[in-house]
Amino acid sequence: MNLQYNLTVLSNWDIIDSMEKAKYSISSLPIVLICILLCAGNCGQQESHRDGKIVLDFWQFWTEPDAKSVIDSLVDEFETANPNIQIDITDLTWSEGHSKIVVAFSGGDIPDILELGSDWVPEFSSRGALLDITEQISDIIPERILWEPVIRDGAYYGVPWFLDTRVIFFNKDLLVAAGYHEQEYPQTWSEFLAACRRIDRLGDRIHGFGANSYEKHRLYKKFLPFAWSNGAMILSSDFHSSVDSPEMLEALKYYLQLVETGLVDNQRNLDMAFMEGKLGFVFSGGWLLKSIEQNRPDLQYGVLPVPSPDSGMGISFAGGEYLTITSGSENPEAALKFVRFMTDPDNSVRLCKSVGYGFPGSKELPDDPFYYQNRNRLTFHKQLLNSRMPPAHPQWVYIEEIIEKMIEKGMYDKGTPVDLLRQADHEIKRILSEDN
Amino acid sequence: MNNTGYYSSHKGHFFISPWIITLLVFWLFPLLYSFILSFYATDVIRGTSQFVEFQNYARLFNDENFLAALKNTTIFVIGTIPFTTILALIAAVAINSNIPLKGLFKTSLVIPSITSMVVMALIFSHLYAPGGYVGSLMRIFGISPPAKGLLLSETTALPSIMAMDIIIAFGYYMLLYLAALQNIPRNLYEAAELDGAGAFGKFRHVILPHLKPITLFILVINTIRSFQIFVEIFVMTKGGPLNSTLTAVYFVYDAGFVKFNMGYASAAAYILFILIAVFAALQMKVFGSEKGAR
Repeated sequence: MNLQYNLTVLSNWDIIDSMEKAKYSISSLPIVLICILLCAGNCGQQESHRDGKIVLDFWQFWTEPDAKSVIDSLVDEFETANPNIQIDITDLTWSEGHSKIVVAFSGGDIPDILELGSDWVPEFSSRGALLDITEQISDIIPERILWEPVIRDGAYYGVPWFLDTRVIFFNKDLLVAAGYHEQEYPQTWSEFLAACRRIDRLGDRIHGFGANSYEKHRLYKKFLPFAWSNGAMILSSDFHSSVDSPEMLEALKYYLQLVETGLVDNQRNLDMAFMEGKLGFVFSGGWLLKSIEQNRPDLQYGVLPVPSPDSGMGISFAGGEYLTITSGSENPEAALKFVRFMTDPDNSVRLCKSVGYGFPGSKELPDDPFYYQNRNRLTFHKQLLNSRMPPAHPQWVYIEEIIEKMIEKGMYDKGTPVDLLRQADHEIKRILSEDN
Repeated sequence: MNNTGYYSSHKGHFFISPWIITLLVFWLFPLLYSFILSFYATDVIRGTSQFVEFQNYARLFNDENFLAALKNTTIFVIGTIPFTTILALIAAVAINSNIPLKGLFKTSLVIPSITSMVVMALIFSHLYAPGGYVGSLMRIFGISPPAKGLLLSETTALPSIMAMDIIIAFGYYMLLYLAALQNIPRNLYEAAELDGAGAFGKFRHVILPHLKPITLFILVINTIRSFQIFVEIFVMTKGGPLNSTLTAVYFVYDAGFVKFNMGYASAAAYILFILIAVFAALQMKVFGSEKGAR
């Protein structure tokens, strides 16, 4: 209607002339502008009810067709079971999603339910953007794992939905070529380093360890497991810097030795080199399982837990997706119902299967052949139970950058490990003091 | 008569209003708003901001990342623009003469500059990778490329991106030069020939003076564009290794859209703005000064 009207106006010069006679001038532009802004503001406002139903806005990141269809069918099932609730899904992308969420908060155009990556939750919970749901979920807290990112001052701000960890992928053929028997795998730090060195000597185009080059938000995830496995921490539990410790020094020295045996490149190229059989070991996540399945089904490979300094299993770096409810939600009870439904392990498993990797938030391995008939996934699950997440500190994005710079300087011989740790400790202390 | 003028000017306003509104909303408003923001410490999620006077600016000049970014950006600008301009000029003069296959040359030189920068950056990432074509070429000439690959070595990362940028960009400027060359009247060449000028004499006394305005335009446009280098960095190196390819706009992006420190990012952007303005003004002064004499 409006468009038609406008077109008529445009084609009718007389009307424009008469408008001009009515002193329609450039001075009315600001008014037009304000109208547009007001409209934009209103259009962005989320509605909380429609046709007598509660409407919940759900922002999520699963956009590839297989995963999206599972999300859609789960939402359908929820709506059928709860006819008074309607879910509006908004899809976000990994590259733009974070900015979009932050901008949404600044503009007041916020969803009810928000999927957040594990490392994003503290940023939002520390600023009062998320709802404290401790009491409402107290019954499921003991049954689920990896709550760390959503806990702040003892309160819980979200529920684990989809979890994954990182393990060591190894190339069986290269291990055998380096003189290892089948079923003989490196387990301790020294065995692992020796294996990397032996494979690295196999040829010019063969490398031992796949070491990540400087990629923001990624490099530190590859180093922290070695620190954790050696008992070192970046921050103490009361958020003081504990970087400058003998355990951290050992871990850093060890990691730099590993780097020397390997190929330095970004994650995409490392995964690719591993699939092409050029890498003995690469530290990677569940996505590589799926990638190998699709691109190199004949690759002779296996997965190992993170090596530990002496014996037993090392500690790995877990990541995951969490469902949170925003503090501005007008229907927190309905939102909670939806969050509980989606994060129910049986429903999460369906999502994991569609993606090809990952685990629900439950402690027990789900009773599904997808998991118990696949040795690699079983190793992933064992490692998941032996995994940590980075400290849930609101300034973590600055702290991780310091850690990454430290590792990078070590990789390029820009200082001794002792000096690098001292420098990082100094910088982390500065960030922590600015925060207070 | 008078009436017609009145009407048509308002008709004009009406027709340019979509553009004016876009300009005000998406350009002028953010420009002014970010200037104000640069004096605030903002928390986007909480929606709070605090007036901090010149603290953002003061902190920037103590931030080793920002200083590295300014240094790298300046090296990039000074190191690419002369090459881009001279290559563009040589290519344009060559294509303007009667060389065989000139259509083919023209097309192949222009194609990189009209291809998406993301695509070009990905292609060059592969060319520069360990075992890639560029490394093999270097070996043929007896130079051993860094083992980690050109983009992962601190000394070669920025020069590699600069070389890529020159190769990609000069085709577009060549087109501009070509257009200017074709505007030079034939009779000037003939007059120069009568005066006994050879090929170089014609280039020196006929072509160069006529290309002055377009050269100034190319320099200024290319300076502004080069100061804003971002996509190449984002796709190829993310500022690494060891900050050796961190550029000013990448710094602004990281401060604003990764760490969401909008005030800090705005302050950095304004420093970049001042830097570009100074460079452009200098160029206009140096290259525009002899205008009256001609």
